[in-house]
Amino acid sequence: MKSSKRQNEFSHWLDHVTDNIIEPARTQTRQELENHYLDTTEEQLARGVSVQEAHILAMAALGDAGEVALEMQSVHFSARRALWVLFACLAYPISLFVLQSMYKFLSFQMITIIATIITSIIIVFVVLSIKKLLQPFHGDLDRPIQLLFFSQVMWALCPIISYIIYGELPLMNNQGGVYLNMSTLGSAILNVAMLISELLSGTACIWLGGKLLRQQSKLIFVSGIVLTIIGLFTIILCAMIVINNQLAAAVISSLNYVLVTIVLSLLGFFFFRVFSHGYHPPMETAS
Amino acid sequence: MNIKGTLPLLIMQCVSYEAKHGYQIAQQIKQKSEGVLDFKEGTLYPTLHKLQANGYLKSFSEEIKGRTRHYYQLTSNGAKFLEEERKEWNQVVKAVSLALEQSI
Repeated sequence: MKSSKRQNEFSHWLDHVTDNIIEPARTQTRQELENHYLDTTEEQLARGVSVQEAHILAMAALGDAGEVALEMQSVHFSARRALWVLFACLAYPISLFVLQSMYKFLSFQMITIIATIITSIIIVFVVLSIKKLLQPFHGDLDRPIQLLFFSQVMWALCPIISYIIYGELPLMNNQGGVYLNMSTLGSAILNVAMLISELLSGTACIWLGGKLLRQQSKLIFVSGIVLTIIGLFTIILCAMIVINNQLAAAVISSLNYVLVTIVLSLLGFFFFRVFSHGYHPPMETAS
Repeated sequence: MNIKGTLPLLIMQCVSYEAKHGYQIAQQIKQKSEGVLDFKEGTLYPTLHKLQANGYLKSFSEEIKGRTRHYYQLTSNGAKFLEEERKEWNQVVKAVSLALEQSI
């Protein structure tokens, strides 16, 4: 009776540690901790300790469940994070739609700035989550993600600075036309900085998209293709801005918003599957 | 003695010659240090998983007496990292010893 009570205590401890971890890490961690608990119990019993005391000592040796759970969540992708990524992916088209309907209350510039900030935050969060999930199994994602992170920060900061100083947006006129404004030195610097951020962003998208093409998940593979197309379009967009082809630039810019929505929808679906079924990377066995 | 900061180094040393599972690693650290180095054994597993995620360890599973055992062993990257960490640790030990001698 007492032994079963101790087993229940251990089951609660184990649930607390592993509840928020996705599969298959969850099953492996449970097996490892359960084996550890049983090994310690057996060792104590062999030393002549009573069954009850052996269970108490085995639990004490494992330590505080909260502390172990926190460390586990810092290493493994949590189910809660998968859910947040799904919300972020859904938030992108919804926030753009809501912002579009706010022209009566906010200026065009203000709406563009808010949309840029929201887009950057969502992209950075989703991309960092992809890194956290895939890096342990596939590696090699660090550099394109760092480049994308840097370009997104630059991309979000340029319009804010430009709006505060000059009351205008870089690479954009008041009607939303895309062009390179070189009227003053300050505007020229901010416009070129924005153009560079677009170029870096495009390069990072192609780089990261290429890496994602090597993943086994079909959703991630297709996301890689769309991301590569976004990267290519962004670089073409930069070229159109430089040669002042405003119509082509506006079309590509709009197309990119659609493609970002598509890639975020794919990733949202992928993270929903991660939340519900876990992430099962290809097995690597040591000889 | 709290060994949290040095746990990765001790783990890598433990599995540098042969693959071991978590309980064996915990026991070896305690035995080799004659019980001086003690730690909460539940925290061993996040550290093992982190070392594996960083490519310093690789793991495989075996079914033994109805239990699935997960064994860890050092990778070539892990061996290089262990060597660097060991050198750094020796430098720290030497420096602390010197500092303690001087203050006496």
